[in-house]
Order: sequence, then C-alpha cells, then structure tokens
Amino acid sequence: MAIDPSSSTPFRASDDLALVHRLVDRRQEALAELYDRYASLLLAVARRILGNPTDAEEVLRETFFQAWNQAGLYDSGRSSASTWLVLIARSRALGRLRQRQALERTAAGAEAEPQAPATSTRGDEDTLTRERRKRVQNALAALPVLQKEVLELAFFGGLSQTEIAERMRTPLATVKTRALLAMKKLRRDLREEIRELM
Amino acid sequence: MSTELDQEDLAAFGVLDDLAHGDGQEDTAPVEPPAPDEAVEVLRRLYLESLGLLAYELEPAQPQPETRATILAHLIGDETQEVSPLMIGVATAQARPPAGPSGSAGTGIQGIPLSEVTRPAFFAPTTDAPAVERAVERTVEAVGLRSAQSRRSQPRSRWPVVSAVLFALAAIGLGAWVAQLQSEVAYRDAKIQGLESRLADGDRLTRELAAAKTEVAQIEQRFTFVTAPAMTVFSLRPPAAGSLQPMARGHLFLAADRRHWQLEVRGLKPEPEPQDYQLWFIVDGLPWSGGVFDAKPGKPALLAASSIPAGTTAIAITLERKGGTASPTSPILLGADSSVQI
Repeated sequence: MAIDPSSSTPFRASDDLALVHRLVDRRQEALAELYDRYASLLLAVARRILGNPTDAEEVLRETFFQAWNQAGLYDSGRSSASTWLVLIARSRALGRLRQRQALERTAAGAEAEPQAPATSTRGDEDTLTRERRKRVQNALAALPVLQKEVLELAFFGGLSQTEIAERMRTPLATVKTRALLAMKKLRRDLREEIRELM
Repeated sequence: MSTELDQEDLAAFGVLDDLAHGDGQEDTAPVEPPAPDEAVEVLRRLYLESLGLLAYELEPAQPQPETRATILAHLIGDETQEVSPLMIGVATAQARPPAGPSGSAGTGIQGIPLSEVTRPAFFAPTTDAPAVERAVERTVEAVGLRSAQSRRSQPRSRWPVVSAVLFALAAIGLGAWVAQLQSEVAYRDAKIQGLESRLADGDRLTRELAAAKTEVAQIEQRFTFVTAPAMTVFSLRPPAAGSLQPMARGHLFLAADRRHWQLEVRGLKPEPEPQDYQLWFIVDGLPWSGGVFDAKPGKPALLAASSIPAGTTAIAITLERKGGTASPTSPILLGADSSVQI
C-alpha cells in the first residue's frame, strides 16, 4: 500500500472508523484491511502478555473474530478503532493468561512450552508507523523507571493498583501517585498522537 | 500525593480501574451509568488513547502466514453469521494450502486466491473484458440508452458507449467518495475544536480553583497567626489633623517571639502609578523601611516579615515612589506611636 508522505499518521483514524462500519455490513475485505494494518501490533501485545507465541496467535484470531462479531457494539466516542482492537487483544490475552495460570496451579509439574523467539516485522513496517513507535518509545523512556513499571503492570499485566502495590512491595498511595504522574506525562507527551487518533 | 483529586485525576484512575476490573467486555462499549460530566468523559478518552498507544512500545510481531487465511476463510460465505473462535481448528485445516506445486500460502478455501478474496469489490480486477462488457450492456439497457434494433445492426459499436458509461460511473463514484471524505474531515475537525475548547475551559477552571485554594490557605494562615496566644496588636490610624486618607485603618500583629509580624490595612485608596505604599518602623527617631505594598479596592493590603527592628517606638505608612525610598518623603497617612514599645 502506498503511503502518502504528507500524512502525519500511520493510518487515518477516519479510515479505521470507516472500516469498522463496513464490518457491521459484513464486508470481509474491511476485516482483511484491518488485519493488514494491525495484526503485527496486536500479536505483539498478545505475545507480551502471554509470552507463548502459539497462544498469542490464537488470541490474534479471537481478536479479529470478536471484532467481526461485535463491530456493531463499537462506540467511536469512547476510543479510536485501533485502541478498540488493542483493548480487545489485551483483554483476550489477559483472560487466556488467567486461565493458563489457573491450570498451571493445578498441574505445577507440567513442563512449560518452549517459547519461540519473537519475529520482528520491522522491515515490513511502514515509515509512519515506525515514527509513531519511536515517539511512543521516547515518551515511555522519558518516564521514571518506577512510573513506567506501574503503567506496564497495569496495562500488560492487567493488575489493579492494589495488586501492583503488593507486587512492588510499595504503599498503595505511592503506586497511585506514580500511576497518575505517568499517565499525565504520557498524555502530555503523546498529545499529537492522541489528537490523530481522535 | 495530595488527598484531593481533581477531575483529571478521577478520569485517569477511572480508566485504570476499568482496565483492571474489566472482564474482556469493557472494550466493546459496555452498558454503564451515564457519565456525570462530559469533560470527565473527554479526559477518560484521552487517557484511554494514551494507554492504547502503549502497544506501540512493543516491537511488531509477524503472524503465521496461515493466520490471515484462517480468519478470512471463516468469513467467506458466512457473512450473516457470527464466527466462533471454536471453529478456528476447522478453518485452519480448510485454509491450509494443498501439498504439491499448485498450492501456495496465499490460497484460501475453494481455490480462490486470497488476493481476490480480500480485495474490495470496488477495486476488483477488470481484465475479464467480456464480463465487464456484459455488465455494462445490462446497465445501458436498463437506462434505455440503446434500442434493441441498433444492438442487432451494429454489434461492434458498443465499446465507445461502454467506455463513456464506465467513465461516467467512475467519475460519479469518485466525486461521491471525495465529498464523503471532505464531509468526514470537516466533522472531525469541528469535533476536535470542540474538545480542545472544553479542555481549555477545564484548564482555566483548574487554574481558578488552584488560585482560590491558595487564597483560602493564606487566609487560614493569617487567621492562625492573628489568633495565636500572646499576640500583640498595634492599631494604625490617620493623623488627627489634615488626614489625606481619613477612612483608612490598619493593624500590625506582632507574634509572641517579637520577630514575626503581619500588617493588614483596609480603606487605602489604590496608589497612583508609579508609587507604592511604604511601611516604616521608627527607632530612636530614625525611619527603618518595613517594605512596600499595594492597595486594591475592596481588599485588605497585606505585608508580613519575620523581623522587626528592636527599639521600635512608632510605626508609620507613607506613599512613596515605586519600590520605596530610604526615608519618608511624604506625609504620614497612617501611624501608631502611643502604645508602641518593641
């Protein structure tokens, strides 16, 4: 797909919105387009949460099936389509992780499935997505380490602030402060990205 | 962390709570109570998008080649039904390319090349000229552009008409598409402007709230100071004769440590520019500047410090040039001398 170099966003949010609307009309090509745009991003999220590449592939499939089945429930006022997909993948992956952890507790002796190394697609990634990735990575790198850790435990770990406090052996109030400061800074540093999504 | 949370804090924590307590359905527009404040909803949206961008922190991962085919294979011929993840295994088997030279990773079910399956109908290949011709012919017949007689007598003259109709259809379609995009862009721009305006209002209110909190804190501090035990109060009044500001009154509160003091003056006219009011402590008949201050209509003029010259026997206020002077150059507006002994 040719990318318009004058565009400032990897994929226009309005394009994504139109694609989701076409999912409601049961247009398969819309799902194919969304897959081409976001599969590598969503798979990365699932892998980060699950670690297991096989499970992550399953989550990727489930994510697009859910998008196909529930596109009518999508509310563009609550989030962009890309964030909607990311949240579906995250939710699916966390659900699978909790199932797996429950099974592992009952079969503690079972051997873990060997994990395949993550395969990067950076070579196939378009320039504008790379730029967005770089800006997000820079914004996160600018956060104090402990603030970043709180955010990642909340988002990728699915932990509540109370659970994070227990995990980090830190007072809950401190975790709340770190989370708040991190989110405010992230919102400020990524305001252009957010604006593009809206 | 402050124990008082503003709207922004509540929005951020709300998003975090949603993410932590969601059961996988929150990402598909759940039914929830209406938001009490639209501004909070806007903030929640901003924070949700911020967190969604965390996905870009990760290096992209390459899905297995058959994953795409598996998903799409399920949708073909199944447009009106929901797709269950439980059907994945079956679809995987169907979508897997057959062994042998004719198979390829990009082939979907029923031998349909995946590129054909996924391409939007609008951009479908047009290399099947007879088929296109037949389709356009049907269109032409429908709008009555050609009679049956001419079709029989001139079978080879269809292409110019076909081309013209194709061009017209393409032009109409392109125009409608461009108009729709423009309309959508305008709508989004207006929405963004509205949101930015609300955010600006929210920021302004936040600043006003912070200023009000600061003012309240100062008032509380003054109240604590002036009501402390062993506080000494000196009243400042206009001179008995020839007063320039007869309505002005002031008090100097001196703490028990005999060092910290606060001055509060009411009824002073706003000083003319470029001038300031200046406080003086008189020690052995010599003036020591206590500082300069402004007077604003309807508000007390305030001044405070943590030291006062020992041996002060009188206090005075004069109007001096901006920034103050080394010694008074104008008549005393307010003064206290009869009871002062520091």
